[in-house]
Amino acid sequence: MAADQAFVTLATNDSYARGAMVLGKSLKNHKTSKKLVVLIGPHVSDQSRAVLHNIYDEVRLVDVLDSGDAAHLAMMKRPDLGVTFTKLHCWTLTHYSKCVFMDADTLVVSNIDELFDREELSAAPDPGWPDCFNSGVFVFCPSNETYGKLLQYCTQHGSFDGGDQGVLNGFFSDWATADITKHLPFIYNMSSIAIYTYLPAFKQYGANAKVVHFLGQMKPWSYTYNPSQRRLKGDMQGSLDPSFLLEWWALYSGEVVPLLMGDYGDQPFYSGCEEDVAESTHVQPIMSSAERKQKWEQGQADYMGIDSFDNIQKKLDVFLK
Amino acid sequence: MAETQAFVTLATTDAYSMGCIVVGKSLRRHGTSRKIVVMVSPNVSRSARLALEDIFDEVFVVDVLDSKDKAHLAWLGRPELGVTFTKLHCWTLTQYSKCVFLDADTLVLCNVDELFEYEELSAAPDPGWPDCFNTGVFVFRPSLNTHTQILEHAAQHGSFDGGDQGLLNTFFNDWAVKDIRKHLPFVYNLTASAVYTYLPAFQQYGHHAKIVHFLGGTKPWHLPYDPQAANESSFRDYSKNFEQFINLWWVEYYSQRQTRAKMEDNNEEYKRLHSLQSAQQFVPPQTHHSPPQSQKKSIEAQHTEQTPLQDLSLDSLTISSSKKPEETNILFDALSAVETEEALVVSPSSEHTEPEADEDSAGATGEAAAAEAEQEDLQHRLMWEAGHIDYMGKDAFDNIKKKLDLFLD
Repeated sequence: MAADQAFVTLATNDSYARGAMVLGKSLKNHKTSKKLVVLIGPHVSDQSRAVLHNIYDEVRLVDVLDSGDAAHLAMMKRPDLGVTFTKLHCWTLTHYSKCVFMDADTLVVSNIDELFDREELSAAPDPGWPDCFNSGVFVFCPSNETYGKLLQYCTQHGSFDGGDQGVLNGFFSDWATADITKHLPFIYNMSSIAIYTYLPAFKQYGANAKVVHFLGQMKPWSYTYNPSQRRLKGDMQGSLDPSFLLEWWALYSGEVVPLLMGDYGDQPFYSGCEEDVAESTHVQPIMSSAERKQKWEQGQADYMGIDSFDNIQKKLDVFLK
Repeated sequence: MAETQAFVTLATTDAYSMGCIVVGKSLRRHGTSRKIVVMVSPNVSRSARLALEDIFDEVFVVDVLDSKDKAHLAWLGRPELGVTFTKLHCWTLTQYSKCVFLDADTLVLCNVDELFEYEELSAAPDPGWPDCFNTGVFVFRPSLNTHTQILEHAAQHGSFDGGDQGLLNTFFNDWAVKDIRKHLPFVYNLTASAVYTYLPAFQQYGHHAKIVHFLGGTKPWHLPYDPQAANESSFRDYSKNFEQFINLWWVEYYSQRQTRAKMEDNNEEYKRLHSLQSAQQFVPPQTHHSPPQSQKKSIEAQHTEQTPLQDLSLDSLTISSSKKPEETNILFDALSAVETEEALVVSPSSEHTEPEADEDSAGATGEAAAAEAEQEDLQHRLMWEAGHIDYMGKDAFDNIKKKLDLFLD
């Protein structure tokens, strides 16, 4: 039953909220029949919440859980991951019988509703230590009992990596050895890192990817995007194949930015998109009125071209006659 | 055993035969009850073969098989791996009922005879693409039929990575999805990259490591045997954990074949060294040179260093006898604490902050005299054409739209 199953994600700040917006859009674009739920922390802005309400069936405010485990997080050089404990709240969504959790830094590239055929706890291997599962994508069954046990486990054992992945691997500790059907194929959580650590395998199997996970410090929203050139700016040294990043940005700039503009209204905000003025002057791409309004309000008027004062005066003169 | 079983390894160069020596010695050290055999290609020197015959139960000479697949090997960045097809000959060793293949760049840390309880084809996941198995360690049953089928598969499909791993993964293509019992635990093929890509997991599980695989372009025999060089650039890319494994490899390489009684003593020393798991604790009486390029020189080096090794042994024994087990444990705990402290000192990268959007001040508007209005219009036009548009205020699209609507009415 579609009504009682859902994809769930988490955003504890506005940056990850943008990831959640893109994720939600990608799920809808690939015609999922399941509900979409996003958990948000108190720090997510009103504008982001409004956009999330637009995309998701349910937006639920939850308290941030932070492991406070500075020692383990430092080992990973990722002090920001303490708040991933907040993810454990997903087990409280008991009005759903089964859910698929997806980190906000994932992108769906084809329909994945078949994941709901799996049982708890199904997940794909982590490329860093493949006898652990990566907690960026997993199938679970909400249950207050399981939620209570997870919190108890946290209290007693903590997390070996300071984040949610250490807790979940400790709690569901037989994943590596017990049941091959709970091993999701790697293409359901394809780490962007795998693209360059074993390039021949990526060439062989990567075309079948269904979910891309932008693991690591640099997130898609860490870059700057030029929509007219479809190019990214930023430190790209870690990525031999930017096609998935470009796919993320095409979806973000094409479908999410307009929603953000609608909710920010006249207030300025940083979209991450930038125009190349020189290129724009020469090419003068044909744009719809809505697009021109967007650009105008972003301060990207083509003031020496189609938006020059003379052209506007001509329009005024036409109406004046 | 009613049926004979064996560990199998392969040397296609004299350098890899150094690795085979360590594989063979480490299996012996940990008391394997199975045979140990090595395949060598014809280009491996006679002296290297003689060294191998001293350690292995059998030395088989096999023809080189090379994929010659330059395109795929280029993606891997390892053009020399075409000859790994030679490994496929292991299926012809039909005098054995079941075998465990170990790449020459592995090091066995404890008895692993339990691997013979697994069935063909059992292997551990590859960290680069974990739905592929890594072919550095696998359990198989020799069979001429299987050998023929694999070669036919190679002829028809080639290998997606130009080496044996791509070929064997497409031949045994249901490994990822069919039987969890054929997934060897990662600790039976702990690849070096795992030591630093997900450090907390290594800290949590790495002490269970049974076989270390020095995967990648740099092999133990390419690195100097000098623990004091830890701060030099050659170690810059490796963590302390990795250094410990490299040093264990070298200790094994230089260990002498012992009589039964002396072997037991040597085992004790080895275990103490292993339990320390610290390169700093292993101080040789003198610095050793970089590994010799040829096996012949290696043998000579071994021979000429007989006395230093004897001193080394005595020195280790002295060090060991002066330490109580409690002190050893305390030292290890202290080292762990130091490592943790170092981890804490690592400065975190600041989280990405959004650049603040520019905010233009709203233009003031007011009524003015006609002359002033005209001059203001000219000024406004100049500002516009200079690019100083008050796009969120006076020049907002809505204001212009209002004017247009006004005229449209």
